[in-house]
Amino acid sequence: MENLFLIFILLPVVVGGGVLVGAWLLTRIMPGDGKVDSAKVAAAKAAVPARGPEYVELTANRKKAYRVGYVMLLVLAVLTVAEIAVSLGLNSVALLFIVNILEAAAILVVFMHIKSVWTSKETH
Amino acid sequence: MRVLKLGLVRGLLGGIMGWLFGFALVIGARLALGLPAKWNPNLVADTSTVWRFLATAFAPYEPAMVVGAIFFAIGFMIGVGAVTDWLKWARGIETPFHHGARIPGTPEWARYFNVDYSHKVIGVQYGITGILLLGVGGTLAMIFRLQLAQPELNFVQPDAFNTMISAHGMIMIGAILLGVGAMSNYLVPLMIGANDMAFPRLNAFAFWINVPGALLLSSAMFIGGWNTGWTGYPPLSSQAPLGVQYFFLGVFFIGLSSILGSLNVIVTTITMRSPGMSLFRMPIFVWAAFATSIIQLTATQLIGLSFLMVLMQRIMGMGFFDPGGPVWYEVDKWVGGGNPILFQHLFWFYSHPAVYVFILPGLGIISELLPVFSRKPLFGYKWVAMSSMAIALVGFLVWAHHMFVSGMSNFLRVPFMMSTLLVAVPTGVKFFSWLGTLWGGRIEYKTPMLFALGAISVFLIGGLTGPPLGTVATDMNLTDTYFVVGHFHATMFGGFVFPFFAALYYWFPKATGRMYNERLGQLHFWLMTPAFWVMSLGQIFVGTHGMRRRIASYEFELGIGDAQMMVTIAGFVIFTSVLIMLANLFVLSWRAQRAGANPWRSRGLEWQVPSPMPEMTYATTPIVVGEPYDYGKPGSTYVQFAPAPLAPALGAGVTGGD
Amino acid sequence: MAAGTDTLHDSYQWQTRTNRLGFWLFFLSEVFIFGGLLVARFFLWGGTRPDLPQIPPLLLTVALLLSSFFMFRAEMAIATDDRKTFTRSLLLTAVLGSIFFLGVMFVEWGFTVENGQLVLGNHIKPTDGVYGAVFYGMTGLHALHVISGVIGILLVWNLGRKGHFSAERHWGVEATAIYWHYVDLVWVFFYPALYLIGTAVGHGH
Ligand code: HEM
Ligand SMILES: [Cu+2]
Repeated sequence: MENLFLIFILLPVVVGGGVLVGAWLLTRIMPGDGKVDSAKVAAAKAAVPARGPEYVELTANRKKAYRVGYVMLLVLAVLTVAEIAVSLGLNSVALLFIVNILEAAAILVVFMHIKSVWTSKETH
Repeated sequence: MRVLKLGLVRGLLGGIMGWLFGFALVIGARLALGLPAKWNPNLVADTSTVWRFLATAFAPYEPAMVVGAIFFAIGFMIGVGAVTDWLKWARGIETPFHHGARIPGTPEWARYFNVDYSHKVIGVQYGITGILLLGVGGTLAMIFRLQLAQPELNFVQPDAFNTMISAHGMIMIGAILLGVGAMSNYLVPLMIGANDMAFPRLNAFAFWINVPGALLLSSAMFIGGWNTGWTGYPPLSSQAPLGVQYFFLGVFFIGLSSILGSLNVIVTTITMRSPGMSLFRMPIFVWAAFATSIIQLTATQLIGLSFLMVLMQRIMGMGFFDPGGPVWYEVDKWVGGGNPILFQHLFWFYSHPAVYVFILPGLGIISELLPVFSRKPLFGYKWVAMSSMAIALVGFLVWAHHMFVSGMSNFLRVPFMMSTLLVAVPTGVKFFSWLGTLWGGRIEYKTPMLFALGAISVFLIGGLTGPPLGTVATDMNLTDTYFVVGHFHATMFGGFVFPFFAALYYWFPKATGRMYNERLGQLHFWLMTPAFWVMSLGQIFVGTHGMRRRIASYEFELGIGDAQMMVTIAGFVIFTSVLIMLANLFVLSWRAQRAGANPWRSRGLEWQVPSPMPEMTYATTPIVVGEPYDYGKPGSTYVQFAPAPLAPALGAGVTGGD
Repeated sequence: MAAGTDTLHDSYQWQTRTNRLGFWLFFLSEVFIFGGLLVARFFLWGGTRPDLPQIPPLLLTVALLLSSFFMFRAEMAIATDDRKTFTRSLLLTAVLGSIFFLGVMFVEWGFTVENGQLVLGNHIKPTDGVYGAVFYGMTGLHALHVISGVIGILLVWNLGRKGHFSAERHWGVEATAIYWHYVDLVWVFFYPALYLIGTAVGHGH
């Protein structure tokens, strides 16, 4: 039993947390192009286009974007309820699978905007 | 400390520190919980010899050894500096991308021992590491071939024999994967007219993770070895000595490299081709590398998963595969209910497609060289390009032909037999294309061309022995005999080793600016090729005469002693001939004559720039205007160079972070 | 020192596009390891499943889906330059993700103290034959992804708090977001495979 504790708790936590923190410290003494040219970074930041009319439009889109989120929340809730209902009531694996596919499709299309992989326009 | 400037040294130090940390973490936690440090108090170290001590001392601490090995890899990667930039990004520091040595003031050779982002350096790193592993695996083979040279010898003890054949198998596969990585990293950007890969940092990471992988894989021999063969089937592997865990982890890290490296090749091929290079104007090797990468990207996960499952079964008693039995390292502990066939399905779902990973790049090299040296267009370019993709895709559907006698459901046999034989069709397309290309050509028998032709002859042996194994009725008799060994050595030499050597000779002048010694090259070829025929046919012969696989000794009565002796001698000839090549390329060539920019009169992009190539291969953007392989067609051109850089240089680069 | 500047590798637009492609290929690759586990589940469990309490996993699923909602909200917030919502939603995502992770560990796996010793598995133990093995294998690999996602979100949150990212440049946020949704997507298939499909059988202690 004690192995379980070691592997399932210590490992994720230590690999995740400890290594990041330790390595974070280590990177400071690593050779390489470590020195950050702060002037360059500042220049790059300044190169961001000035906030013109596009920016106004952007913020106007905000409400719309949030609304998409709420709709998705509703869709996911309905599908989860459907999932439970199907498995408890109908006990049909095929139907359950369809519900899962719908759920996955919604996540892929809306949350993960899979389209952005092949539409090259830089939206965000 | 000047040696600390070398990433490799820092990596090893970091790795050792990581290993100690991981080991101490687990043992410390155990002690803190009030448990004894050893899992199985009955296991005690045997101090009679150093060898026996290493083999027995660590066995009682198996879970701590596993965690130590994982931290070894992490420590290595941090120490070598392969994750430095990413950790900086995580802190919001931007690291602009530079070509050239990353650490100012270090000599040129030191780049090869450090994390370097240039795809040419990484390609060479892959290649050298691959050749080193080839040497290790080859040496092992020479040792156990001595044992097999005559019946009933007692030169190598059975335990050591088992460890050696297992290590030979997997180390050679690692060597091949590294060789494939060398070719695709070095050549793909050159051939598509790009100056680097799409993700240079990921590329460096993918190379360097091989080093801890290879070290773990090799060290498995010393901490007890393992006796499962390269396939690691449970339930044997769940009872095997501790070495099997380091074998699993070594393969896991090398597999991680495959996944990340192939991801890079795919993105590079999709996004970084020169203007004008449509998909059907890509050099054929790029097609091959692309098809290979699709396999590596997806299937590799499954060998990782299957090995991880056995690993967990061993240290946690999770009964995936064992129908039931005691856990060897702990008293009174049982697992049960699993199914070993599942392992074979998961394992072969990777490992069959993997054989196409080994051969597709090599077959691409053959198709690449034949037109150059016969001064004729490649016969059926589109068919060859598509056949690589077809082999890659059909290759996913045939895995169970390794399991005909495993006890899987009988109804699966015939469909898998059909799909297996189907692979012969796209493979045949390649053969016909090669013949069509050679037909009527003015062939120049230079060393690279000889190796390409040798590859065809050897691959033919491998290809012809495949269908008897893919047919259920014959495979029932041939499986687990030396016939299978003959089959896959012929396919791997024909599909990888010969083409890889051809590629080394062919691109060597491009990479170094020096010409190798042609006479020695020819000598290498004329030693290696006949020797290989003898070895391969000998293996097939002893297999059909009752020689089983993975057996340390065999009886006089089989009457195959002479044939076995021939195989061993041929093996030594091959080994020696490879040493000649290494001397030719890496020692003698330093004083060799200079090679021009294009000694082979090739149409390829990379041959239009000086040798050795500048840091930025293409200062001006190449523009593809014609077909890649129209050799001998008057007035045709493949590539032109734009008069000036197309894009103005941007100043500050911002990478990652936000 | 630099023998040349690479205009391509330093162009943010080009980078974002290739990074995105690379990230999706990574997802494709991961499909195979999760798919392999699903195969193992159907191979070894067939039409059965271990008899486990139903309510806790349902609540955890809800927490994960909710966290995905907040992650989406955070990404939309930075894309439309709403920094306050951005950092807040990120933090909420991390909290919900941690709830999921801790829930799996302490409720599903159930660490308890027995006779002064830490013991795992109040419902099912990893050594419980194929049921324990597959259950811990699937939840374990998924939990490993969850915890790395939470770390990623916290890193992004930390940078966002300090003023990094903008409506025009926030690939870091997008990457973390799609990774998080991907982890969620995997759970969409794992949850029914573990808890809903098949007839519940005792798993033999
Ligand atoms: C003409 C196409 C091919 C066919 C029909 C074929 C068929 C087979 C079959 C049926 C087996 C299983 C034999 C047994 O264990 O009973 C086998 C084994 C093997 N083949 Fe092929 N093969 C082909 C090409 C290749 C290629 C191109 C390679 C790789 C480079 C390759 C590498 C291997 C390896 C490594 C094994 C042994 C696996 C082990 O250790 O058990 N084969 N082949
Ligand atoms: Cu096969």
